Amino acid sequence: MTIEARPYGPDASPDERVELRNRIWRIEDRLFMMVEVPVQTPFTLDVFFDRLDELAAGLDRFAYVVNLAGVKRPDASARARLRERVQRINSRLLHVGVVVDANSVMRAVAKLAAFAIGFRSISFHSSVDEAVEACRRALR
Amino acid sequence: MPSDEVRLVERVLEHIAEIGTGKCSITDDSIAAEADPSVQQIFAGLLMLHEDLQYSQQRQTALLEELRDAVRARDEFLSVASHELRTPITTLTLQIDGLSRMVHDQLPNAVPDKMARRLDVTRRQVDRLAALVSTLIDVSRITSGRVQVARQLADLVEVIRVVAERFGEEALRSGSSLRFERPGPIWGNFDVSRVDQVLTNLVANAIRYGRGRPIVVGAASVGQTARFWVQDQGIGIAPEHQARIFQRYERAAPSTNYAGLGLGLWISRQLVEAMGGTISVRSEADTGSTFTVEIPRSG
Repeated sequence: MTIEARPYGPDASPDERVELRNRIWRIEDRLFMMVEVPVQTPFTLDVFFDRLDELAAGLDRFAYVVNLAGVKRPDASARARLRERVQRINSRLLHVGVVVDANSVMRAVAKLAAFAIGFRSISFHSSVDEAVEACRRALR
Repeated sequence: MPSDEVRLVERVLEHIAEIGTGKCSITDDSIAAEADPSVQQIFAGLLMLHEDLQYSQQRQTALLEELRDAVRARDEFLSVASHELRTPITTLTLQIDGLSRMVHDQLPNAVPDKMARRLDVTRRQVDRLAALVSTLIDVSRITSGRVQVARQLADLVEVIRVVAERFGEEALRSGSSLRFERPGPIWGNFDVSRVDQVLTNLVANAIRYGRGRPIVVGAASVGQTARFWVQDQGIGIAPEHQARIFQRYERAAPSTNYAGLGLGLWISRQLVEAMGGTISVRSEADTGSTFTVEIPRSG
């Protein structure tokens, strides 16, 4: 099953929910990977961050890489939920490595969220490897 | 010719001014049409700022509406519940009165003390319940804007005398003397039942918080205004509480020591204002309070 470029909500099927959850995984100790969906919604963000909460349970600090390639600009409700969810883990979050293609708008989205939360340890990369490396450096 | 930088600053300021009025002409297409990625980020940021403001306003409006719905539901419940409670209380009052009469008829000279006392306590508790329900009905009427003022030519002094007389026994039971400093007649167009209600509340409070000390009720005519007051020498109200005691559900005295819903003074203020008047308090903690009501003589 592939996630389509449409907004997913609470009416998502069990398979779709599993597929959404599978887009977050542990890369190594304290480092996680998140591959965003093309259309972020409050629902998908909750699924993502609930999964991240599960994976990072018990960790006092961690970092994650988020791949925003191909992601459309989220609407205000999704951005509000993003701020809310990142805020909850902010005190344990050491670094976020953001993978963006040439999309400067998504760069602005990520920066605005980070600034709004008061979270400044964020870096932008054109590849996942670079982003992972940046997170590793932050975790050392 | 302005430089690109100056031109960009002007464009940004124009958009900020526009966002300040609740509009934004930036679109995803216009952002994409910008050649410089930094400029794209600036305009994307402005567009999102506008969207976030709009979203926040919508959320506030929705929350406010939810809050209003909740208040409406509460007021409706209050209204229905208080009216539903009134009927059985009226029946209960009639039954107790009937029972009392029956006992006195059957045992004209020998009603056992215990039975008389129990009947008396039961009657007083039912009266108390009826007064509470009546308070709730008043709240319901006031919040739904259904307070009507029915004026009639009356002597305010006579209205006060009736109330003072009604409370004489209760005041004595609490250890207070209740004195009405009676002036000459004060004629005017008054809503007698509302004036009675306000005064009843003020005198009841004076007895409740008066610590068994003397209570004085007075009245005067000042031009076209009629004034009456209730003065006690009780626990008083600290200055920091005086402003809020006329608010709904507000009380200055601790609810653990003194019964009440915190609605009496709020109802009084609403009624006095509906009659075109004012109510005020002068008080000192541990010294006592004087509540003064002023209403126009010709409504």
